[in-house]
Amino acid sequence: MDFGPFLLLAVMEGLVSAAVLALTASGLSLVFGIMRVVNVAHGEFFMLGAVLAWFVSQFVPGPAALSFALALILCPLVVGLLAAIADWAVLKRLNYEPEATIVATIGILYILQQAALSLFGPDARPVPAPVDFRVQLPWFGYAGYKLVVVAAAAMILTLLWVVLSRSRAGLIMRATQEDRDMARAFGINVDRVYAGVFALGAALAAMAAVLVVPITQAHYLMGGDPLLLSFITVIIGGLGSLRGTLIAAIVIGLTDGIVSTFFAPTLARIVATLAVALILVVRPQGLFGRTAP
Amino acid sequence: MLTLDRVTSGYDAVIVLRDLSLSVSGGEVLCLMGRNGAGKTTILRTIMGLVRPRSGQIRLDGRRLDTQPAHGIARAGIGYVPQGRRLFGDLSVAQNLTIGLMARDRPQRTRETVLQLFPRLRERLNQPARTLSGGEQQMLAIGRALCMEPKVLLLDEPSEGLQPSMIALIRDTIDALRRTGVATILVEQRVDTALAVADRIGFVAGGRIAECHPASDLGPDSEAFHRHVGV
Repeated sequence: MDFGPFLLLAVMEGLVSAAVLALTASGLSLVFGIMRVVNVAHGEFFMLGAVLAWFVSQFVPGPAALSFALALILCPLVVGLLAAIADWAVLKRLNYEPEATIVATIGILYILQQAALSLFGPDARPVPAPVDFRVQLPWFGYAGYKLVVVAAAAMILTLLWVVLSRSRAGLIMRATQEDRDMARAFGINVDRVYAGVFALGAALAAMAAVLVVPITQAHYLMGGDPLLLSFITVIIGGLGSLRGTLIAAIVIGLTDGIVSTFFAPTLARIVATLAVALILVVRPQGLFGRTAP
Repeated sequence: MLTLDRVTSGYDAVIVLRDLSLSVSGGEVLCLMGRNGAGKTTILRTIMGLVRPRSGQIRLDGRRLDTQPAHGIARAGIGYVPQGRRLFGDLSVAQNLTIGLMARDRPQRTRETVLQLFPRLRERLNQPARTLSGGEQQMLAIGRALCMEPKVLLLDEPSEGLQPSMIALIRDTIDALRRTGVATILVEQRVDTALAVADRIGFVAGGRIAECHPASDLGPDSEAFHRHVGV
């Protein structure tokens, strides 16, 4: 294949990575931005989304599209509910202290991972794609479902942006993000906001997983990579900046796709990690983050 | 009526308020004065529930506030204008007011009343709060608190760093609130402002109200100011 079509293929692969990463990292960014909690268990919420999607695909009869649509609604709800319970049972009791919550979310990570191993088993399991078609370009054919993933992620992220910038719930979240005490002093139930944000962050990771699992398969150890890449994305974009997270996700996703296609996936991870190191030295607050006042 | 009955509170191991008692009635302005670190701000933060009392009771019209979470206290009818304003700086003026209005039944009417009180805010509705001048920020901080339709308004040094015309506007606002029956607790360093607006002046020292006098009994040269404020 010539260089041009090969580059186009790499960019298309990168867009799929970017779309999934943007969804996953925006959940992590929301949780850190509003709650100041570094959620080390975020990758496990991603894994749970994929594993639950497999269960739905196995136990819901009928066409793959039906079980997939059900999984896309049900899995984020179940994972969000689990996250809200974790918030209530653990994080709230630690008064959201930054250091304590890091340790606590490491504990949640292992609990979720081992629970998945016990109930789901150690094997990778496939989930059928809801649609099966190929887009035939002059140089190569491309799996149509991957383009569906990009479009679906773009729609979900647009909806998230509308909720955050236009709705009453978004206004409450932004006020809480700016000043937790003042939000309380104006009648906002901050505990409820935190539970909702933690659930929303986990649900976004689960949604990303449901979208990508027909491409990658479900496995109980699959949370590690999304967690690492999400942290890289959030640090480069600026901690707590959703706009920065989205832009960083596109850059990292495209870089990941291009470097993986032309060279090797491992080199793509090395490039991303070096980029984080560089950003931390040159601009510690990230591309779109702000320095502490 | 808001009453604090033998309230003790503080931060971690530090006790700031010790068995403090005070009360303020509807339409009354109680001014709290004292040296830095005397506990004036802690009194307001304790009433708001942002610092939890370790003992004692806080009641609003007989209803316990000290057992409620901070957001419940705000919704019960306590409005708060903190020191340094602490606006939601990235939100617009309109959004800051909306945050205040969320707990109310008739938000549109209340918003209009606040904008009539501070017409300058109407011209800045879509501007981020952090871009306002100091005086405008203080108008917004007070307006945001008034959006809660409070029964009691807590004002922590509202005239700090403001030009005389703004201070006069704040005095007029406090007078207007008094006429509508809102009780006000004002923390203030300026003797002239305290004497101009307060019905009573309480002097805070050692975590208690050391002295409390009707403002009409005091003048700019009164001994109490020398003892507790150092002027």
